Amino acid sequence: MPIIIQMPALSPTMEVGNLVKWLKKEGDIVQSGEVIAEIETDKALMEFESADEGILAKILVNEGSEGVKVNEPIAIILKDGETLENIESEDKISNISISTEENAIIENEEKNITKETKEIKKVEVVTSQNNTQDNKTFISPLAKRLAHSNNIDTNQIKGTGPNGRIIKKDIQLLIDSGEKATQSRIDNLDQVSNNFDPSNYSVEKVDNIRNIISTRLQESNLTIPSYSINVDASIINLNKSRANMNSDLTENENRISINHFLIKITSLALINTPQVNTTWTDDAILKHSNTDIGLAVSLENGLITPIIKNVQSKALREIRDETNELVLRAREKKLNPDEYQGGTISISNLGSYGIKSFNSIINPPQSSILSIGSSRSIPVVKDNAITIDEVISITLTTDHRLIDGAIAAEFLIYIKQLIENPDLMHL
Amino acid sequence: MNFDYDVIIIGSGPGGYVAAIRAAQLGHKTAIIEKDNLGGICLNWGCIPTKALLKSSEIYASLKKSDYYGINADKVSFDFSKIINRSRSVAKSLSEGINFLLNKNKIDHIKGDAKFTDKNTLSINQGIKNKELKSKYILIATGARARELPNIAFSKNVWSYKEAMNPKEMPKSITIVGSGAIGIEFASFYNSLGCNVSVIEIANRILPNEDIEVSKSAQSEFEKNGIKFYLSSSIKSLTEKNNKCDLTIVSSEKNKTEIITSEKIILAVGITGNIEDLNLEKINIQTSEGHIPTNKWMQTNIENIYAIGDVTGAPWLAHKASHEGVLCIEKISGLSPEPLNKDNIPGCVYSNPQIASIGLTEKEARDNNPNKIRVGKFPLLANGKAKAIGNEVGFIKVIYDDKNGELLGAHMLGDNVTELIHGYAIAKNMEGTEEDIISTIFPHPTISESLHEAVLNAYDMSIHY
Repeated sequence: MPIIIQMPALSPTMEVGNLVKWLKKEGDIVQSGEVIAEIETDKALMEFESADEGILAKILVNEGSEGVKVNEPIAIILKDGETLENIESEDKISNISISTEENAIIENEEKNITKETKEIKKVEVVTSQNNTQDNKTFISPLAKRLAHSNNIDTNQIKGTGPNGRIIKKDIQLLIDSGEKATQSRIDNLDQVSNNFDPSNYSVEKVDNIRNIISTRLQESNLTIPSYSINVDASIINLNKSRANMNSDLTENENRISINHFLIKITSLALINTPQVNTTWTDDAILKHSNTDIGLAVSLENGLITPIIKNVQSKALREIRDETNELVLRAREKKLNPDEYQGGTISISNLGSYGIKSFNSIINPPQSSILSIGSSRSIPVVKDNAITIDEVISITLTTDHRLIDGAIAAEFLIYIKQLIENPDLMHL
Repeated sequence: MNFDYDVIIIGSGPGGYVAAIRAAQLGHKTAIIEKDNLGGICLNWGCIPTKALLKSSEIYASLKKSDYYGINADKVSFDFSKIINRSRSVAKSLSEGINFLLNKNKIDHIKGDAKFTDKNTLSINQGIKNKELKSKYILIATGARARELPNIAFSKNVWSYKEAMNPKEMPKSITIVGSGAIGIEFASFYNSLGCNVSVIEIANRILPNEDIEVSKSAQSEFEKNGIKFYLSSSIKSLTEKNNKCDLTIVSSEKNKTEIITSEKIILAVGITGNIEDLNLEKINIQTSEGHIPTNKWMQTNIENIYAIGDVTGAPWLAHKASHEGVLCIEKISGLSPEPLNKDNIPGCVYSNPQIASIGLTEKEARDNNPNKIRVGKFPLLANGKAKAIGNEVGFIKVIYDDKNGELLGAHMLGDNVTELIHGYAIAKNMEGTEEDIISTIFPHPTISESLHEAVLNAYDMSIHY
């Protein structure tokens, strides 16, 4: 039986993906486990491995295609001795393409609404030789004229009329889906861009990462009642500890950074103040026993927050190795979705940019985010004398649904204490 | 759960009995519940018996102008009770025909009133005893009944279509409230037999759902036959005295009050679904303004319960009900029927002259079609056959999408046009463009040639006009 390769769901939230590149051509032999395509999901560029082996007989979705729906057929793999004719029978592809679970949902939804997407799917599914059996396309006169005037190739369409006849609706759906996509973008652009002189700006398409950032942060800002508290922490002792540790380490990548310390300290603070190590759901609060901490990494065209998991059971050295590795892959856009989803808190450090202090937007479903400023020298009064201290500003932005002010203060002050006295980490 | 039946259908009108036959054909164990005569309103009190009545009035009208055809027919008269009896006997024989079809298809016919006790169970009141039946699927095909007006109820002198169809004697004057298909058909019938007919319509034109041009031309033809129309008028009050009804109407245009006196009144102001006696509340079936809403497969909000025909709402047409019955049975059976396209349902008015239409009116097309439209028209006056048989009244009108050649609508007024509309219905259903009709050869001499000419006219290619 020929195998229909579908757009995989590479993360729980993925609904559509972009087919960035085919690594195999039609006619190539595919081994099980071999990477056949690169697919851009919510946030990452993923390699798509074939679970099957055979010959890549037909590519149904060209590379560069964007917004390909999960479960939409993207290619056909044939086993020895099979030909494409094996799959030409009525509806086979569309039947396979809709999993039984999805079918049930569609059936239900059909009770009230026309499931347009299903229809689009049905129309767009390409059975390469559907209409060519006797070199005659079965199409209504009106559909034929519509297709002709809109330059639509009717050989690529599967009709939904009687006996698979292509009817007006099939062509109209194709025209509308194309127009709708362009139109909604243009409408949006028009509304805002009217305020500006077109000769003074250029238009850049919003890419997947930017789209995701925009939806998630907007959701966060609209749904989470957050507030921020801020404290300065002296960094002198921590820098001394760090210097001691790093003195024997010649290789740059082996050095322990402030971030590595902060991740460890945050983990300890989460254990100390478990109310922060929580997730809000509408029905219940999830209290976590492990500490999963995100670190914001800026990319060329966005940012991503890889999660260092189970920090509570990891030594600084392990935290260093794992963080460095995740950051490296984040910059190459090669993170797996489970590597940037989840966690209860993130750390965003703009210290290297010379920012004194700032606050950040919580990264859902997390409860909090720490914003770290750059270290700076300040005069302090100590034992009736003015001395120089070196401090960093730490801002905690947190979800008031989960964490009240006193708890947030306890949490942040504990972090301050650990930074100022890193030996406490070993207690 | 053990079911007595796969499908039970409540109501045996043109929706119910057709659905039952299709269900039996597809191998379902099927029963139909009917409290009255088989065939519903359509066969017993609607489509069929009115056509029988109208045929009598048509023959009478033809005979009265027999001189024009060179025939001498003096002292033409009619026997009113015979006309009514013939209509009743046609209804009876068709109802018996349904019984035959049900038996042939091994469909159980259960007499009684059905009420839901749960979503799979019906309690059937058969007078002395009650019977419970369980079915996997249940179809509600209970139809609709004539609506009353808030200030006028049915009475000895205020008739619904039922009394209007079965009167003991011919009234001398009748006022008909409502100028939809039912009102206009009774107006034509009674007018042809010499009764004084007035029609009151709240809209500013008769047959308000038809194309404006059809409304206007039809009105002027009806007026030539002697029917009086009161447009933009609503009913203020009614005074009944023995054999006389004084109906006070208010015209919103002229802003004046008028009293119309007649022997009888026919209320033809629309219908309301028969939803009250089914115990729908018990199983929480949604209803809306006297009807049961469904999805495109005629499924109600309860998964195994379907509703078809008049009880689901406008257009209230027998052929729509039958189509819906087949559609939902096929869907239940796992076939892939096409959902009903309301633009492809033809509508007919059996008046003198007749009216038939399908799809959008010219105004609807101008207002709603995304592209420019093309309108073509052909008067029957220019058709040889119409001239030969002396029925030159009326016209055929078509509306096309200028860009795609899609047939958006067709409207006809004239003798027997109800037998012509299916030509456009087929073209429309198959998504034929103007080319398909232009290249079709129509037989000569027939009135159907006018269908061809109307399309030619839309594309500036008229031959005979």
